Amino acid sequence: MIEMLQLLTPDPHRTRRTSALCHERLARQRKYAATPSRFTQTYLVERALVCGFCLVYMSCVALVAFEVLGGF
Amino acid sequence: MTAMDRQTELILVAELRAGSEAAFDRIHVEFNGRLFSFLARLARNRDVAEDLLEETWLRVVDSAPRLRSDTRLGPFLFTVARNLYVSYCRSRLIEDSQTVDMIGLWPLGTPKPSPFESTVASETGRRIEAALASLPASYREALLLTGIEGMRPAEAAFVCGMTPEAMRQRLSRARAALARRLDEQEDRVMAALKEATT
Repeated sequence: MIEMLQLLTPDPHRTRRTSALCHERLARQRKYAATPSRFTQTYLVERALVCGFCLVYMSCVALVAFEVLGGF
Repeated sequence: MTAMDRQTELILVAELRAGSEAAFDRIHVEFNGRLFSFLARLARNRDVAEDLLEETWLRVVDSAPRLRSDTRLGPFLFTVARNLYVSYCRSRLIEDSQTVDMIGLWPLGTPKPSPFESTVASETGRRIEAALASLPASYREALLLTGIEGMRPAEAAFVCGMTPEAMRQRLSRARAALARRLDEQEDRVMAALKEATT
């Protein structure tokens, strides 16, 4: 019996407004997905810095070791 | 009520995850009225239903990139709508004190049948709407999801966050309660008629 209840219609003006809002958000999401995020950029810079410092440190260690061993 | 086939549904989900507006529009056209009917009958108030409907679509769009590729749109959308209604009730604590607004629920711009059909259908519809609105929210949502949306008890159980067995029991109780309310209405009408003719 409950199947015979009619489909209720929401306010068309509000429906259009909601739809437009959703389109706007979807467009923003696509734009956001297309460009690398700020988080990704920060992460990459941070990794590069850590790797750089590691290289400098290892080079210094190697240099010191060479000098010490070279003394013999 | 049209049913979307599974293949189309999977394609639409994939496109929505990619941010397609065309996919969103198709989903919106298919489900907007259905979600509104569900929310309006659950909340028993058109304005609240309009607000919840808007929030439902915005939540859906926000969560679109994180959707699973095998998401079933119907159960997903009705789960979002139901959760929003539950949050609304929790925040306002008005569920039991809300006024039943039958006239406000009646659809706008429906096609015009003959005056007799219109009177009978509208009278029956109003009686069912009134009986449904007088049931507890848990019974209403079970009846709306299975009776109007045509969901299987397992799908309705998923939307309501319960086991299929518990949903079957709830449905059985809800149907019995609805039948009882309709009988009570019938008795009241008969009594009023009898009184009027004597």
